[in-house]
Amino acid sequence: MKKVTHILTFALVITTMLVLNSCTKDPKPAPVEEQEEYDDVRIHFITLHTDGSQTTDTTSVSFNKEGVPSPSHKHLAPHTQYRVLIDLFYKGNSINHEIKEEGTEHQFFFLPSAPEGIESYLYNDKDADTRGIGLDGNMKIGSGEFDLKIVLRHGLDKSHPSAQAFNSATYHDAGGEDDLNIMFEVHAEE
Amino acid sequence: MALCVMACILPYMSLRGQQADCVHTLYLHIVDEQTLQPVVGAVVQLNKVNSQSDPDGYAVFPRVCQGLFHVHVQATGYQSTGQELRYDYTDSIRIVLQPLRNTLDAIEISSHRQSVQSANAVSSLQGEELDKLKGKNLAGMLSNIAGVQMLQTGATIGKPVVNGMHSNRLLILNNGIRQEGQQWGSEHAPEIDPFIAQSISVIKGAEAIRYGAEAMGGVIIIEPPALPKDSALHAEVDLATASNGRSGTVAGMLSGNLKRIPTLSWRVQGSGKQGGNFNSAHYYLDNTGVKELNYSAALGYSGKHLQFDLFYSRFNTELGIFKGSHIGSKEDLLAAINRGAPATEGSFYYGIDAPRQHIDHHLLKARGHIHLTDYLHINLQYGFQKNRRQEYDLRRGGRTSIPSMDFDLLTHTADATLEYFDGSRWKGMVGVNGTMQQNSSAANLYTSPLIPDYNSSGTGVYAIGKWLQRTFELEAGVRYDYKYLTALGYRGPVLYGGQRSFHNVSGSLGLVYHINNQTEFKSNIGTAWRPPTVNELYSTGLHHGAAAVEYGDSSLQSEKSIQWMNTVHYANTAQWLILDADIYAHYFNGYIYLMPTGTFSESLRGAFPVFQAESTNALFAGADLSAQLRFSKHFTYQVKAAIVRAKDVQHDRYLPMIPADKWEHSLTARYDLLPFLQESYLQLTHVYVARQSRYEPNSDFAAPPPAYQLININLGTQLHFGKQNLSVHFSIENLTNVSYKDYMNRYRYYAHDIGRNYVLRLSYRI
Repeated sequence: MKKVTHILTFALVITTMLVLNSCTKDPKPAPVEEQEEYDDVRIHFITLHTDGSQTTDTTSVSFNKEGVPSPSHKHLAPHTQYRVLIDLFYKGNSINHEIKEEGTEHQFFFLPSAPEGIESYLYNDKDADTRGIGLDGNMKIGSGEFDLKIVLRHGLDKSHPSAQAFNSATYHDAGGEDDLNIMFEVHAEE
Repeated sequence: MALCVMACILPYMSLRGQQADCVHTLYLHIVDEQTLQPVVGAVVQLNKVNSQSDPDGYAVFPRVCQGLFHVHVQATGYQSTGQELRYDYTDSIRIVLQPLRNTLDAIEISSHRQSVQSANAVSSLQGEELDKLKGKNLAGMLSNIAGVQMLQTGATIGKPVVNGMHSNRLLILNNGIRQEGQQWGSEHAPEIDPFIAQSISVIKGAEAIRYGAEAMGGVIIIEPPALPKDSALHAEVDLATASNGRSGTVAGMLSGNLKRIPTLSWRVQGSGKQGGNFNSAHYYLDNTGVKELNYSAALGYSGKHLQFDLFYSRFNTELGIFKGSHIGSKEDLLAAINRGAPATEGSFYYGIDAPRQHIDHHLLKARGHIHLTDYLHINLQYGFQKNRRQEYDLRRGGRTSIPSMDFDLLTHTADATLEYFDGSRWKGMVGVNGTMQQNSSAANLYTSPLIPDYNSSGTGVYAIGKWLQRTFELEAGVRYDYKYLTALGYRGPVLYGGQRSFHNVSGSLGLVYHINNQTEFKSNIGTAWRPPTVNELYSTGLHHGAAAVEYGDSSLQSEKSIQWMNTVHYANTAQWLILDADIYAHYFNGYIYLMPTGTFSESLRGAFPVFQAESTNALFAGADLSAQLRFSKHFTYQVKAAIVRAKDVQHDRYLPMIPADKWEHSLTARYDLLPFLQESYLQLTHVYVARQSRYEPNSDFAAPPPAYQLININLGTQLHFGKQNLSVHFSIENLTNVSYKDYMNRYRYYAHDIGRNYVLRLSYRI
């Protein structure tokens, strides 16, 4: 009799487990409000007078989520000063303030495929340590046809020797990671 | 009525093939053969040391040497007996005593061998071997067993790899409960405090019958010490400190039983660790610190027909991810690979910054063991685990303090087994187990989790039979599993997921053949399976840690395998030569892996390589060899080797992340310089790891690193003051401060492995 009771107990345990199994419900995830990736980047080139004052002549390049530029190439005047403004968007809202607030962790680099493509660049915006960020800057275009790569580094050591030049080819050595890495063609010809 | 006494000597096994002199605790189980009831109060004398069997019939002898000994058993109502016996630490000796009125043979050695739990290869770490490794993580400790290697993500995150298999192809049993964390990630280490273990064993080979899905490549078993049966208070304190990372670890364990209710015993245990940045041979690895706080408590009741125990443990760790592995794009990755080492020399600090991981694991277990009759036992077990994994990345807009991954995994497991043993020839076991899991990602992380939320449940039923003969044992088993999974997640505003169910029948057949007293041969052939993991089914997106876009395939079928494992163990009678060989072949039908598609996904961050979960047919084959030669009273030479070959046989391609060939040999001198020292040793070890030449050139970002050699020194001794014992171990790892990279370390792209390390370990026991 005792044995029967034990076997019944065992059977009960098995049944319980099978029942436990049958009541698996569907998960109920919460929708995600993505804020990590940009979905739109625009770069504005405002032509400057030789004295540095702004003209009303502005031309822009925009990039979609996949990093594809539109237009695919940009005509810029050779040996001319431009004020370059970069706007980062997520769902139509600018998130430039996120970069500015953490300015000591962020820096843009401008890397032309031909060194003569850019004659100079000056960071207009500064972080808390008075080092450049690059959302706003003055760029003197050189000449020729070249690819312009624009990189936004995050978490770099801005005091590192490799982070001092706007076109530092060794910017990786200053540490950090890419927040933005885009490229478009510039035609700087008469 | 012919009363007999059986004394089963079940010595704890040590690291097989290792020097295993006088470090084993011997448990003599004295039971009445007919009733199988323990004989209480039997006086057992072993080499002039007396012990008395406890209420469960156990007489305990710590630190017993291998070889010849004299055993004498005396118990009221039974014939006193004495005999010379020779034993190896893997033996189990059954002694049959006759009652007083019977004058026939007093002792019959009916079995002189290991009580085999598996027909697969089993290797264990315990006693001195374990003491020598304390303070390392679980995978680091296990890599001292031939055939076990480590899949590392830096120096702090290690996953064990058994015969080339890891993660969801390996099962970890923590105190009898299958460990359930986010095992799919290679940077997700097992959430286990090794300080709790008295023994850590590895069963190589498919063990799907007993343990179910995922026990394809092997099973790792972490066993805490048994709860004490005597009235004494047992205490253990461990201290470990290492120069590399300037880490300190403190651990303590206290156990005893209640004076008023001697059937109730308890144990509390805890450990804490803090370490800072590791250094490679020439520079510091920034942000590789670790903080750990773990504790556990156990309560056990041991009655005549019922044993019951409750166990709770918590594992809590925070660890830094090497700064130089910050990867924002493929371009970043290639730049880091070209450099091969971080751009800066780094510095030492204890602080942990983003990227970092915070892991919290709770385990609650209740287990009952019921003696139904003398031949029939029931085991019931319930386990609950709560695993929380938070991963923090460098993020913008103050979001660095918000984890970019925050998973909460709840797992319930229930097991019931019915065991039968007829007392001589037949052993049988039937069992059933059930699992329920719920994994959810925290809301408001502002980034889509890599995997969807999911719920899953599974049931398995199995039966195992064993036929024991004088010279051989045969084992056969069969199991049926059913698993159901329902997954649902948001990728931005888009819902994705689905329902899948899997079921499978597994079988195994094993033979243990005792060729003679020196040689044992084991052969096991078994099938195993695992369902595809959630990331393999549904992941669709950028895996930041891997700088890759990964796509799952929701139509993937279960991965099935058949493995044949052969083991030969030889130890000559005088024990100066011990040889072990594990040779295996493992065929997979539907081996799931991430295949590089050769295409790139474009984004504003740059281009990322695309990987697709695919299944193929694969073949693993290899051998783990070890030999030990004691060529004089004080000197032992040992050699260990592990070789594994793995191939995608469908496409005739090599599989990625398979350990390279590894050779290790050591010379140990044992000599006690002073009379109060015991078990003193000095060991010199040379490790050679070959370059992994078997890889597909375009399947990885960088080619495997060159071969490397390491020299390690270990020395230690033990001091006894009455019942107290202090063991001291000192080691120098990477003595020559070699700058090297290991193929199985994911950080080999960015940095070298760690440099010279001085480690001091102290264990005090009472």
